[in-house]
Order: sequence, then structure tokens, then C-alpha cells
Amino acid sequence: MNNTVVACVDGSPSTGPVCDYAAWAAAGLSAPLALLHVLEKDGHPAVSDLSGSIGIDSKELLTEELVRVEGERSRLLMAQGKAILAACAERLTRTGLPEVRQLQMHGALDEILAGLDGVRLMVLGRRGAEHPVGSQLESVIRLQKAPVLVVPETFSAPSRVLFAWDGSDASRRNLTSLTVSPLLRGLTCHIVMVNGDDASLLDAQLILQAAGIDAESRIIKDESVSRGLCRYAEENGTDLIVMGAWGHSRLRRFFIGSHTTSMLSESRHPLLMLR
Amino acid sequence: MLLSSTRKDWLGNVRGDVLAGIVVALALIPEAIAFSIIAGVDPQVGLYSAFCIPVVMAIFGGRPAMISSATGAMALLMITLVKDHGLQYLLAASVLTGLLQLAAGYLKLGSLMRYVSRSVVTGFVNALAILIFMAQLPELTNVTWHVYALTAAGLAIIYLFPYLNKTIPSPLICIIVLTAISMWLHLDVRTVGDMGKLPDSLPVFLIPDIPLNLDTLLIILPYSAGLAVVGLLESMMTATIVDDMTDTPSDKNRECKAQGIANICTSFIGGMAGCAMIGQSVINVKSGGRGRLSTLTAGVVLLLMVVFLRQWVSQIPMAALVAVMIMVSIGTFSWRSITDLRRHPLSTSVVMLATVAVVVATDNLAFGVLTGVLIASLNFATKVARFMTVRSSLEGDTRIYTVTGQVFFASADRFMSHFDFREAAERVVIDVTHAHFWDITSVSALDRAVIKFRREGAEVEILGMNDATRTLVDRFGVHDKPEEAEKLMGGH
Repeated sequence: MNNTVVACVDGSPSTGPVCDYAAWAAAGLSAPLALLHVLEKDGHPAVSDLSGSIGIDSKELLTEELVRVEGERSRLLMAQGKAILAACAERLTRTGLPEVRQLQMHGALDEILAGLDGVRLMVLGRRGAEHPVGSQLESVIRLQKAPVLVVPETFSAPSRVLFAWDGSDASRRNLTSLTVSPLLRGLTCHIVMVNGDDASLLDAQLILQAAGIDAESRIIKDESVSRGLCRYAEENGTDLIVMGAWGHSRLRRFFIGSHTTSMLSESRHPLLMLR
Repeated sequence: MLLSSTRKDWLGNVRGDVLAGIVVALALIPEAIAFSIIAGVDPQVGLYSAFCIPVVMAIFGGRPAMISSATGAMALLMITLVKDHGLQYLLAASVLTGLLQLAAGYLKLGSLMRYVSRSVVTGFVNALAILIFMAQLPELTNVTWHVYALTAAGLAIIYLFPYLNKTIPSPLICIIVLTAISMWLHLDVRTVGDMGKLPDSLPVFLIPDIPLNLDTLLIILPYSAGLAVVGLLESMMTATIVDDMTDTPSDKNRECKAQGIANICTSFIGGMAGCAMIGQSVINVKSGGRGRLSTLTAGVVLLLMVVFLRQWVSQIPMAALVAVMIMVSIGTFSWRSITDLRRHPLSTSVVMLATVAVVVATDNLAFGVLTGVLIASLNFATKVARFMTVRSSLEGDTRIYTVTGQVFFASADRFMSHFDFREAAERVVIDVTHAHFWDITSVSALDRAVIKFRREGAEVEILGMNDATRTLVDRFGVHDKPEEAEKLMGGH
């Protein structure tokens, strides 16, 4: 895999939009596209017997039964996953993408995604088949080095981008790398800072000017950073939000919470998380 | 590291974990009481550790869903300490055990488990089952027929009740029914209350009341060392068994550290040292326990039941506990290993049987495992020693010996015997390009051969010595260089 856009599909309602956004990104980046289906181990036991007694060869018999039942379950899930992958691949081929790789793997989503090499961009649905927004996405993004695009349940090709600017080194780095990326070329860009000062925003404008990009920049006031950004996005019709993920320390996140986490749960727009 | 756990570890399987935890707690009570009695302390001591150890392990443990508590293997090592010096020294020894295990965890000794072969594990498990069973015999000797009848009835309930209903733990039914019968008929049988003090309150923090000096240390150190080793061995083996059953990985070194922490904590609330239990862990997995919550539930439910149902617990006839413990010993024993005796190679069976025999003879599982590991290593050395041949050929006046294979302490003598020193050869060539000299014994054997040939007047030349002795270097680091390993093993 080399510089691939990886789309994570699981058969949930967001699978379609994940494919569409992945196709959009792959076209923009002129990168190959791979579909990934992860077979997660079910934490719920397949066999449960509350009799509490153990007899001759209980260990071995229990292991054999678990292997049989879980094997059956995995076989079904594997077939189901293959069908999902095939359907997505067909959908993408119809849109004119030349070749789509199909991957299926066993394990925990976050660890598998962190272990993939040569990933350019990762596309995930905001809402999974089993997991509501939250822990799953968070750990995926935290373990990830590649940018992650988290998409909602409907697709619309992005035309206006909102860049969340907080004046930190990380956001400076992110903005600089975006100016050279072909992904957002030709889109209208809004630089938005919540509860910040003009001097810092000027920095952002300078970076964009140096790259020759026209952008609107704005400072807004709101108690909550995530609510402010979402409100701005609604009012100005931006349809892609770009932000750095988890800039603060784990400790601060624990006590105060993080903007990234609240954006993940509040925003109705696709989010491009830069690490 | 020690505290890291995901939300899924705790809340991934709430219903299954809570139910399994309750089932395990019910089976833990008789075990904790029985093992306290083996060690010669009040049931309270075992019950406190059966509360504390699972709770601590739920937080720190490296193997979710594995149940740890006061165990028979550990209790057997404590008997003489308690008899000679009393409970306070046992608590101090438990603290030291914990410290040793913590150190073992930080030194990553958990990885030493790779030297313990499958047959040793089987032998260990069988020996454990036999020890648990034998520990019940005092309750079954010199007693009235009532006890036999109650025990038999208990076993019948445990194994037959699941055919009627699989949602209520049959060991619980066994205990309730037998307690009711013996109270109703006013049977004159021993009850748990006769065996010593039961917990009458939630545990409190206390420091072992012992003089802190060298004499104390010398008394407890041998016991602590034994306890630490046995505890870790049983825990590591149980972890492997749970890994296999649930098809999930575990962190063995974290498990070592957690065992240490659990033993330290439990001694400070007046409990004895413990370790992982094979039988209980199987019950937990069978009942659907997979996460950390199952272990936590087991500990908490056990304490609540014992403290608040003390009146009733003290009325439980010992026969009911004996029945539960016989069930645990039957469930722990690997019955397949008996039928496997015919199928497996003799050398493997010998390892298993020797492990069992030594444990039963010494009551110390560590000695058994040591014996097993030793025999298994010797077996292996003997087998590998066969992979050595010496071909000899004569070219004119030159005698050429071509050595192929593994030369080390076990094959050095055979290596020497291949050389014919009586032959009057003018020139001798020993080609060792395709041989490996693994240790100093093999190199000195070669030296001796060369010297002997020279003394007979022959001119000796050795070919390929550098390649052959590369294996002598201790830190070769071939593991990350496949091509190096291949070169090393070239020709085999």
C-alpha cells in the first residue's frame, strides 16, 4: 500500500457516504483507494452456562465448544463483510474509479488502522454499525498518524472549507501542510478562530497569502468552541471542517474535556482531523 | 501500563461479567474456607484474601477474566510457618511474597515460562488437582456415615442439577440443601463455624505485628520465595489456559506485578497470599465472564455475602465444602492426559508423571515444575545430540573427517568416539564447515582430538572452524537477521 486512501466500511448507513467521500478524496489526491472491513472480536461470550460446576475435561470441552460456536459466527461475519466490500467496490467502480483494493482483517479497529502502512488519508463513518459516536472513533484517531476524515450519513461534495485556527504551533503546521495539499485546491476557505485575538489570526492569513490562497478569516465568540464552530458552519454553509486533533495533554482532556471530542459528537459536517 | 485498561475491558460485557462474577463468588467461598483450614488459619483469613485479591487483580491484572484468590498450592506451603510462628508471620511472609513477585514482574521473569513445556503444565495441573483432593481427606476420615452421605448427596446435586436448570449455580444448591438438611435433622457433623473465626466486619487496614529484624526476615524469606515462585507459576499457567479458552492475549509481566500488588494489599487487611486458580477461572469463562468486571464482582459479592450472611455461612456442613472441592479437583485434573499417555512419546509422558510424582511427594509445586523442566531439557538435549554425524574417508595418506551437525556437551563424547586414533595416518583433516560447536565442552573435545592426533605424529588441519564456532558467541542477535540465522543453520 502506498499513499492510499483507506475507507473503513462496516455495512452501517454511513458506509455509502464513506465510499463517496473516499472516492472524492482519492480523486482529489490522485491516490489509490482501498476498502477495509475489520472483523472485530465480539466481547460477548458465545457460550454461557451458569451451572457453575466443572467436571471431567471441562476445560477442553469448553474450549472445543467455544471454537465451534465462535468459528461459525466468524464465518458468517466474514461472508457478510465480503458482501459489503463487494457492494462498495461495485459502487466505486460505477463512479469511474479504476481499481479498488479490498481488505478484510481480524482484530480491533483502532489497532489495525494504526498498524497499516502507507496510508494517506483514512475515511470513517461518524456512526458505526454497533458503536455510537465516541470511544471507538477517539481511540482510532488517537492511535493514527495519518489524517482522518470523519463523515456524516449523507454525502455532498465539499465546496467550502472551514479551518479551525487556534494559533498553536500544531494548527500553524496543519495549515501550512494544507496549502500544499491538492485535496482542498479550488475550494473556498474560511479561517475561523473562536475566542482569539486578531494578531494570531493575522498569522494564518499570512500563511495563506504566501501560498497564494484567498481566504475569509473571522473571529467568533462563544462559550463553547465546538458550538461556535458548528454555528459558523451552519450560517456560512461550509461543508468540511478541518481541525487538529487532541492538541492538549491527556491530563487536561481528562479534567476539562477536549474540543475534538465534542466536535465529534456535535458536528453534522464531515471533519478532517489532522494529527 | 499497570493501570491501563480500556472501557471495553470493564464494560464490554456487563451482563455476562456480573452473572459470572456471582457464580464464581459462590464457588470461591467454600474454596477460601477450605484453603484457610489447610494453611491452619481462621476461615476469615482466606475469605479476606478471596475478597481483596480478585478486586486488586481486576484493576491491575494482565489477564482479564482470570480469577485469583487464596489457593491450595499456596496454602500447602504455609502450613509449617503458621504452625511454628503464627498468623502474623504468615502476613509478613505474604508481604515479602508480593514484593518478590513485583520484582519478578519488573525483571520480566514472566518470559521464563517459555521453558516450561506443555507436559510440565499438564503435570502441574494434575498434581494440583490431586493436592486439592488429598486436602479433603482429613474431613473424610474418622467421621460418621452422615458425612459420607452428605458428601455423596452434594456431588450428586452438583453434577445432576445442571440437567434440570442451568441458570442457578449447582454448587450453591448443594450448599443450601446440605445446610438445610443438617440443620433440620440436627446432624452432629462439623460445620464451617467449628473451623474458626468468620469475618464479622468489612476488612480494616492492619500492619503485621512482628519484630522488624533480620531474624524475622530469615524466618519468612524461604517461605516467601517458595510462595512467590509457586504463585507465579500457577498464575502464568492459568493465564495461558484462559488465553487459549477465550482466544485473547494477556500481558504476562503485568500479571506478575499485579500478583505482587494483590498479595501485598491482601496481607495488610489480614488475608493470606494467593494466586490464580485454574478451576475458578474455568468456571468464570464457562459462565460467560470475559472482562475485568467479572473478577471485581466476584470479590465484592463474596465479601458482602460472607459478612452479611455470617450466621448462615457458619452453619454450612464441611461435607458440602468437601463436595465442592472434589468437584474443583475433578474439573482441574486433565483426564485426557491419561488417555494421551499411550499416544504421546514416552519421554513426554515421563516428564508429566515425574512432575506429578515430585509434587505429591513434596507438597511443593515448584519442585515438581523444576523436575519437569529439567527432565524435559535433558530429553531435548539428548534428541538434538543425535543430529551429529562424522564421516571419514581416505585420500592417499590423508584421513578426512567430515563433521556435520550439532556438537555440544551432550554429543561431545560421541563426537570423540568417531576418531580412530590407532590408525597411522600422516595427515588428518577435520572438516567442521557444516558443524556447530555450541559450547566450550565441544571446542575442548575438538582440541583434545587434535592434540591426540599430533601426539600420534599426524599433521592436523581443521577446516571451517570460524563458521562452526560462531554459535559460541552469546549475544549473536540473529533473531532480527533472518539471513544470518540461515547462514548459521546452513547445510541442515
